[in-house]
Amino acid sequence: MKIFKITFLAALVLLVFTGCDTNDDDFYNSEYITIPNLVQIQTQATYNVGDYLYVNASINRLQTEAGQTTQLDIRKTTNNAPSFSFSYMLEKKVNADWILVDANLSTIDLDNGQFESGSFYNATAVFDTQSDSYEFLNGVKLTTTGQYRLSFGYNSSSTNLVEMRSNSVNGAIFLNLLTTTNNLDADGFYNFTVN
Amino acid sequence: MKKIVILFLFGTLYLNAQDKVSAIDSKKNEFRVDVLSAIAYGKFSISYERFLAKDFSVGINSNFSNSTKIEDEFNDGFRNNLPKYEFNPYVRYALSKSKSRYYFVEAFASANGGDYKEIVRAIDANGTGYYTIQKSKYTDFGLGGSLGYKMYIKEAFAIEFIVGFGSNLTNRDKSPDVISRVGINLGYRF
Repeated sequence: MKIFKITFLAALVLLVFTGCDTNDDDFYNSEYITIPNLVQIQTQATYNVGDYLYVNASINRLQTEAGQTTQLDIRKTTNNAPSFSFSYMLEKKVNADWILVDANLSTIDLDNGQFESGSFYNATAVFDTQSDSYEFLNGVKLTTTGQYRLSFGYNSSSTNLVEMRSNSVNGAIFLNLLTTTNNLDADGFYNFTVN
Repeated sequence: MKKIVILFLFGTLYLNAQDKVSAIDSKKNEFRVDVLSAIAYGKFSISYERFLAKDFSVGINSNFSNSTKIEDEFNDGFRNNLPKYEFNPYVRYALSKSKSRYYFVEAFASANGGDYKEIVRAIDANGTGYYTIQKSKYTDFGLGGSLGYKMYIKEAFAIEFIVGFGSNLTNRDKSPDVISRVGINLGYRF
């Protein structure tokens, strides 16, 4: 019985050690690079009901990478990934709460890429062979007066960075572009008022 | 009369037991195949064991892995190494007095290798950079220990359960950190 206990303990130790393994249980097809200013909020001096707030991403396949002497081909890196995705939110202050602004077919102006709304907005910049770039441009209609804020931190570990991830397939590298955008405050919000 | 019968029966059993011990003792070699690794991990694992005096034995275990599941995980990026072979020489010590069923402890070494992949930045013919997955081979050497239980049927057919682990030592950036020796072996002793 004592030996049985020892065997059991050894099995337990094995499981613990296997669980602690450091290089067998991660995701290894990801590469992270930082490239500034790939996403822009198209701001206005003033906003009125009926205006749209546009978010734009136009990402050329060749990018300058910090610390490198050659440009980076993000399309080749991802083995021709069809698109890059990122998330953002436009919220309106209702009483003391911030509520996601409803964005449906009748309240958006989607010029490039794809756009989905759920508990956040999922934006997809699709590769355009004419411009040799990944393109996204969408506006969300501001239908009522009040205080609004826009942020990119919903699926991100950082409030001030936009994380764009390639939609790679067939075992290709998932390229994560960590980028910045304009007009965000220290907490990662672009605040504005609709009159 | 009853006492004589009982003594005779016990005496016969004792002698039989002694015979069995002697029969197993005289067989010094054993080959085994790990059925658990074959079914669960797609790993072909064979072992040879040579029995020495005073409850010691030595042997070698060889594994060759061909698991589609692990290869898919490797290709899809859920692991960065793909173990392909292991050669594990070992020394064992039997903990129990019985020769036909006993617990044992084992110390083993491991020479193992396989495929490894990493992301590197390359430059194409146009002078443009790109990241790509580069595959290479790894080899490593490790040490470990195991506990197990072995029993014999008809003094020759072995069933063995073994649980053990070890650690790779020289190339852990590329090789798996942990070497496991978990198996259910069927063998023949002669």
